[in-house]
Amino acid sequence: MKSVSWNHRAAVTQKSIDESESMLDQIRSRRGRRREAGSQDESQSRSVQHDDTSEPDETLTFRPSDSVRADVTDDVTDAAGGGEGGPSSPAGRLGKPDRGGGGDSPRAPPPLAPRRLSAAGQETFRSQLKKRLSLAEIKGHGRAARRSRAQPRTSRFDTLREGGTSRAYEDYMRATAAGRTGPSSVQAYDFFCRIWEDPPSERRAATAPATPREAGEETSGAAESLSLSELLGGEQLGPVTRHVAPMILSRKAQLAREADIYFAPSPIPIPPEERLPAGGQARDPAEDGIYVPRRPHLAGRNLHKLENRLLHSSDRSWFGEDGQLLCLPDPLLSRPRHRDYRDVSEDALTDYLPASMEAPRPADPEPTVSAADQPQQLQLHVHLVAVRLTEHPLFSKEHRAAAGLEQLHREYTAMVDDDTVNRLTQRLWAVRRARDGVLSAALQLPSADHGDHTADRGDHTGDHGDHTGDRGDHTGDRGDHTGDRADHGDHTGDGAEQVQRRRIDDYTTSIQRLREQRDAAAAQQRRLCRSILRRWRELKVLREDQGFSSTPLRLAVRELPSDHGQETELWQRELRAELEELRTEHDRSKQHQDAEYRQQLSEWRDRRRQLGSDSDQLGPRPQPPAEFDPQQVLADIEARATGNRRPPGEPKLAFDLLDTHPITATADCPKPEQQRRQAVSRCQLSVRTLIGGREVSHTRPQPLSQQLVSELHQQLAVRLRAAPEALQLEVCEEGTRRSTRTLAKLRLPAPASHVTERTALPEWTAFSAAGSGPAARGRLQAALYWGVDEETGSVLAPPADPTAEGAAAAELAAPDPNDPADASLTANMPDPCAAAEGGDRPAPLRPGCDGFLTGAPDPADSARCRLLRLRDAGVPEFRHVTMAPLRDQQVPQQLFTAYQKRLEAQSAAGAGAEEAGGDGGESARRSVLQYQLRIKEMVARRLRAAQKHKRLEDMVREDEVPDIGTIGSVFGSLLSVRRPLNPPRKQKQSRPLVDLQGQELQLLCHVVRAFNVPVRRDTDAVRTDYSRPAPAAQATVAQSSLLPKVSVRPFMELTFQRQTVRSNVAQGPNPTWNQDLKLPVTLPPQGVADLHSLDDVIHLSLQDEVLVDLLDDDRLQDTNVHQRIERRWLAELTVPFSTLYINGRVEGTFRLNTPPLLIGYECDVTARGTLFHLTESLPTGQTGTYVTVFITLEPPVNVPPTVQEHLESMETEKLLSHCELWTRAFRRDYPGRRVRCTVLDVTGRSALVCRYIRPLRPPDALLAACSNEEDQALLIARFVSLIPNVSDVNFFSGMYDLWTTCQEFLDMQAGDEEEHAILLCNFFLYLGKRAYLVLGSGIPEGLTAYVLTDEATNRWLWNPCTGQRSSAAESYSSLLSVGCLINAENVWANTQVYAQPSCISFDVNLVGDWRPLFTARQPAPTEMASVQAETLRYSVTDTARVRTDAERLERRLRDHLQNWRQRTNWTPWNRPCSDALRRMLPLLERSTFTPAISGAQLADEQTRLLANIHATYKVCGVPLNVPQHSQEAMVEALFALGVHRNDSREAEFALAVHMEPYPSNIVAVWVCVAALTRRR
Amino acid sequence: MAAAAAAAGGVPSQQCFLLSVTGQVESARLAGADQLYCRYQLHGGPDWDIVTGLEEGISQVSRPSQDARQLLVWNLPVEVSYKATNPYGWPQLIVSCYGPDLFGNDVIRGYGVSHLPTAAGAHRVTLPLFVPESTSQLQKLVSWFTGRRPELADASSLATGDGRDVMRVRSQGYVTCSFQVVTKDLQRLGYDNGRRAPAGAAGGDLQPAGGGDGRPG
Repeated sequence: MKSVSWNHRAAVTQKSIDESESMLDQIRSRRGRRREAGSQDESQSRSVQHDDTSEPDETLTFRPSDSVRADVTDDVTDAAGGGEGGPSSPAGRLGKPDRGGGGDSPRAPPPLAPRRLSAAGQETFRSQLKKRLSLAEIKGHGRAARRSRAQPRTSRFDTLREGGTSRAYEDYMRATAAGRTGPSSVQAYDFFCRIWEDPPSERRAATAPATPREAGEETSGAAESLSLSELLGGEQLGPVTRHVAPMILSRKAQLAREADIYFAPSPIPIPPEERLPAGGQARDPAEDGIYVPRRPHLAGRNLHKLENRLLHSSDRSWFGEDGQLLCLPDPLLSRPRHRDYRDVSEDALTDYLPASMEAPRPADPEPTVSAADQPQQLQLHVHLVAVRLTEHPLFSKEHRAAAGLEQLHREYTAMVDDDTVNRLTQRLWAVRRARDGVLSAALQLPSADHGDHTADRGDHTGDHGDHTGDRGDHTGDRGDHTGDRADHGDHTGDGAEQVQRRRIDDYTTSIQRLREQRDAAAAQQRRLCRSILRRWRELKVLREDQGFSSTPLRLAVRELPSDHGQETELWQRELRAELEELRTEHDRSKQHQDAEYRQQLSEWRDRRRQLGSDSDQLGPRPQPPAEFDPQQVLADIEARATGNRRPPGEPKLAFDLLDTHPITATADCPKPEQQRRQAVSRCQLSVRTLIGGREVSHTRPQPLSQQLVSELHQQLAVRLRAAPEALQLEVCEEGTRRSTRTLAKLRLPAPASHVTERTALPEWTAFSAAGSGPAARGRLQAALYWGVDEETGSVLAPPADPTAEGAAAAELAAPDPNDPADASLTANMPDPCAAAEGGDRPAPLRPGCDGFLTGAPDPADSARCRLLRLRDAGVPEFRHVTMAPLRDQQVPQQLFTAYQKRLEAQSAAGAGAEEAGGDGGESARRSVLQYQLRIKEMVARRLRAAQKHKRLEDMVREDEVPDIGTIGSVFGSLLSVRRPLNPPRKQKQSRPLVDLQGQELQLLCHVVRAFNVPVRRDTDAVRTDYSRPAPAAQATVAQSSLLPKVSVRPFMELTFQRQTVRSNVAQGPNPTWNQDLKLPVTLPPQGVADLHSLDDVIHLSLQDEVLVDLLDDDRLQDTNVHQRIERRWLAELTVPFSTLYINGRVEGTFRLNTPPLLIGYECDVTARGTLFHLTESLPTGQTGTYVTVFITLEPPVNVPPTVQEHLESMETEKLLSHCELWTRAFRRDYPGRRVRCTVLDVTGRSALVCRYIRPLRPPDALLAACSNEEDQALLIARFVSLIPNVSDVNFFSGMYDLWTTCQEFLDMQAGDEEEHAILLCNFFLYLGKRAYLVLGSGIPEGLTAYVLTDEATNRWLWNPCTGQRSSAAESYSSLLSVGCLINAENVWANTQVYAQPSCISFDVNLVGDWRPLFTARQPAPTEMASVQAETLRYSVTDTARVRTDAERLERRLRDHLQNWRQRTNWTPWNRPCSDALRRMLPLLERSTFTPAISGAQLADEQTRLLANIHATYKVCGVPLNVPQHSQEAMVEALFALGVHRNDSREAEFALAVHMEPYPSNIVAVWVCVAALTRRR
Repeated sequence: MAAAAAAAGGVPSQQCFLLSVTGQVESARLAGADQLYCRYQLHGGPDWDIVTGLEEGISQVSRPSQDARQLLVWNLPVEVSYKATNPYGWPQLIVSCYGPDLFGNDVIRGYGVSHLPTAAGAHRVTLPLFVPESTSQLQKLVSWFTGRRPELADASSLATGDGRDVMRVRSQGYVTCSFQVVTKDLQRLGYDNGRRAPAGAAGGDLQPAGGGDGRPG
């Protein structure tokens, strides 16, 4: 390897730049040639590289491929000629695409002007150079990266490229800078072709010239470096770049190296022992009862990674004692906080003051509120900590033993803590010292008595004893000897000796007492010790016996250190002291005993003297009192002391009860124990808190631990007005089936006034089961304290009342649940089933007064309050009251009188409903109305809650999400025909009612055409059409059938809410109008929302416009026109508004309601089919007039859906779900077909529809009326149809589909199609027909109900509201589709392709055609009690009453007609005509149910009756038949007839009313009104 | 009903109190709104009757201010006088803000509601705004595209509690309103709204006060 020194290079650079440029030219030209030849490509160059690598050590031989050389030169050339133009692209060299444009195409090298570099050029050069170099760097890296896998070692090429090139630059630079002379050709060749191999240090130095050593070198070769720096404007060329060969390692080695550097934490959890410090044991603070806050949720995977990472850095400080990662509690609140009141300042918040009924005081607007009036603000906090059971049926034997041990230990600990024995001992000694002090003081006094007592206790000097005695008094006796101490000082007095003696006696007795106490306590403690040990032994044995352990209790016995010598000394001292005391006592008592002995002895001697020495009665000789035997006494004392106290040698023991005994796992336990544990784990405890007998809280049930401890940890705060005496707590056991059993009750006295959270300590309170339940005992830990006002810092406690509090405390300290004094508490206890869920919030409670303030007037008496209440309750009379007056006096009384009247009427109706009937007529009707009102109110009340529920759609307007169908239809519309041949009607989007505010709702009626319009019959005498020739020619023309007979000029008139609009006049009996008629809808006063309550009827009447020629003079006829327009009512269609409202639109061809007899007109059946092909679609033989209309509302309104509340049902849950499923499946398969399984009755209960079907006996009067069965059926149908039809929507003011029973229907005399159909069906069933209830849709009423009778001859479909029947096979029926058939056993849904009655088969046994609700698999409930009564009650109709009613109605209608004719102010009544009409009406009534009476017969009869009148008058009249709904409806119908609009001066009128009574106060009302024009 | 009408019409002036409010719907802070206009409407209870003033108003379109606050200022005046016989149904101000969305559709930007201050004086009230949420994410996406976002069928329903439970709303921003409230005869009729009128003055003391989130009885 040859290295090139800097000096050498310096020499090389002593060339002129011109030379170098010429050399560059050469190189360039060579490169150009190469490029032209195009011999080099990438693959070749790569092969060269590979060749090179095969000979890594070949250094001196240079076999450069052109490409390599060109590569090097390229860069140099570019660098050198950088001042000019753009850099020549070397892209062609390796064909690298990233080298920019033009590289691939051979192009001439840029002209390089041989010139010196100017200053500016130097700058450019520098920048160019830098750019180049960085480029080279990038290239080098890129390549290295590319090759790193394939080539493990650095190639020579790279060395050349990366090491050599840069050096070549520098050399060149130096050359240019120093001498500005180019190298010689040899040097140049050498420069480019030699391999520059540098030792690594050299290379580093070359690339990093900023090192100090380098700097030194720089100074050594100052000439070159100086010039270089000059060239670069004083700026070092700098560490331009450093090319490091990529370190290519095998994958394995790479991974191995990476393994040293990288650490990939594994997501596998670490075993807990690793997380703990060495040798540590996991300790769960939660088990220790320490509150453990909820940890924030972290995915286990990530958590384990984190733990692994932390552990890897061998830092266990991140882990807590429980082996878990230490972390702060979850900062997120579980409950969302609403807004804060930052923006609201304090004074703006209104204080709530309870309403008071005091009269305002205008004179004194400053009401002074004294502090006493302020209600007390109390806040009681209850902190329930835990419940620990000590006895319970779930306790095992071991538990009991453990509980006993625990109890003993507790007592023992209490004793030890209290230090009773020690304390008593201390006290004993103190008293002894005091006594000694007194004794020694007495010794100093000259006293003979004290001479006996030798103070042999050298350790007690007199003054010392006195001092300690006093102290002992203070500490131990606590005033037992205050009296002694009081007279301590006056021992100098006369009775000093006496006093001394007494005091010593006192001391002696108290020493004796204390000694006994001390001995008892010591004995107790020792006994406890022994029993603890014994119990512990028992427990151990028990555990061994049963083979498992279920309690963790373990007794640790410690031996406390003791000083044997000291103890012995104390023991001995004690014994000595006691002996001495006993001796003193003995001495003292001996005097008595000696005296006694002496006396007894003398007595005994006396007796012996009397009786003799051998007498049996002598008795034993009394023994002299025993002498004090110190040995014996000492032995006694010692024996006693050993029994009671711990002798000196015995070890001193301390007991610790630990919870560390291992509990046997449940799986290892025998079966009974497993069951017991399961039972325990199921058991939950809760605590109910009652204050003043009211439940304020019921804690969440907390599971019972295996140790039968339930940790409650619940706090509640109660705001009170008055301080409670005590708190009653009930410990409840929550069973598995939500049953709560009260285990025990306990009372906690209210805390003292000063107890706050800071000072309150949870205390254990024992409780035991009360009552008959199983024995349970336990302890409850709870703390009671008063709340603190956060702002003022005052305690929200009742003022302290020492006497009352003390008394209360004394009273409540020992609460007894069986105490009759607590009976009031227990009596007020709420039903545990109705326990409300108590939370942590403060529950407002007002003990004592429940209503308004006492003493104030009852607010119910206030008229205003009553008004407001009634308004709030939504009573109709008050619902719309605004500006309710402020004072009672201003409340208008008439508001209440109306309401009162209604209430009275209702109650009267309710009372009189049973005995009604005798009154008959109007009063019966009124009672019916009352009944209706009552039912309405009841329903409204029941469903008010349901009605209040708003749905999201009512509140928020939101677009529907387009589903696939919508999207499909959108795309489909793109493909569809633009103008289809059969365009369908587009549904208008209806809008919710609230949107309609402020908009005008319009009734839109499109009348298309009518056919079979009656034609005038009586056309003589009056020219009805001016186009017709004179009367003379009339006869001939009329008979000619060739000419179109303009026999009628009909038009349609729409009447709604007394507003009228009419269509144009068309010609002939089959007119076509195609006209829109619009009328505004006057909304009810409540607004649009009450639209459903609108019970107006839309009258669409077909009328004939008659032109009456008024010209009297025939001569003027050619020149003048003087005519009057008259209108004649022909037929009408009435559609209740509710029908339109529910269905959204009414459309189709309807049969008009034509009277059975139209006076002056006839239905020209012959005209049909001969003139108009339209009528061909009519059923043959069908009479009647038909009209095609379309009625809708503009804008369309959104109908609230039927309330589908899941109310209570009389069906089983299973049946209901079956019905639900069946209905849903059918609706899915056959949308649009009506089917019902369950319906609501008026009480809001749902019942199966089949329960409504039951044979019911029709009124006897109807059965008796005809003998023919068919006639009977018709009559019954007529009867049913006479019951007024009122929609549920109107009736119950809401979208409820309620089905009333037949009895209710008859009583209310109102119902919709379903009720009619049910009644009819039930009657037919009684008649023995096979009848079904048909639900489907028809015209015009939309969803409707029909009755199908399956008779031998035919199947009839009965429309129950009109009483008409049609054959089921008839193609033209008002029933459009059949949804289902219902009878008492089953419901069959129509599954046939078509729903039209004429297209379907009615054989319900065909499985393919009808889908039954109850099948063999799902049988009907066995007993299906009907909701219908067995027999219907029919009230008797008073016929006389009906007659008077008819008269009254006639008068009323007459009055109305006269009023309407105000303009003409003259309404002559034609009495004979009225009479004739009245005679005719019963016949009309009969014709409705007697098919024998045909239209021709009627016409004949009419001709006969009206023959006389016809002779003089031209009569045009209409008989009107309406079910008696109300007289108002009748008036409306009469108005719709428009007879009163006859302006003819000569017109006379006739009006007749006939009421046909039917049973049960059902009346058919016929009104016939006629206008008469005198014939001329 | 006739009786009710008589009751409504025949209230003598001595038997009702007056509430006069003048103020402005001043500005809104609503992130992301480039243009915004608002509509206010007042909703009073059955015993409240407007004596003078407009029950509804609509503002100009406002753009956010060119500073850090990005306030949308309207200064839409609100002037209304009520007479009432019952504090029940104390009038509420309902503000609905609308503005074009990304596609230029006019969409609802927020509803806000607040009672008018019960106490006399000057008040500043900040109304939090909210909009109904779409029922589903898909619905949300669709409404975002179509520019027909869910809005209340009737904004005045905010003044009543009905149906609030069925809708879910999202917070939007704030609207600031200022009110100057004068009451008359409240004290005379025995109502105490926490303010004492100075002797002899019929109106309220006009000391500045905080927002009026009062609670009418």
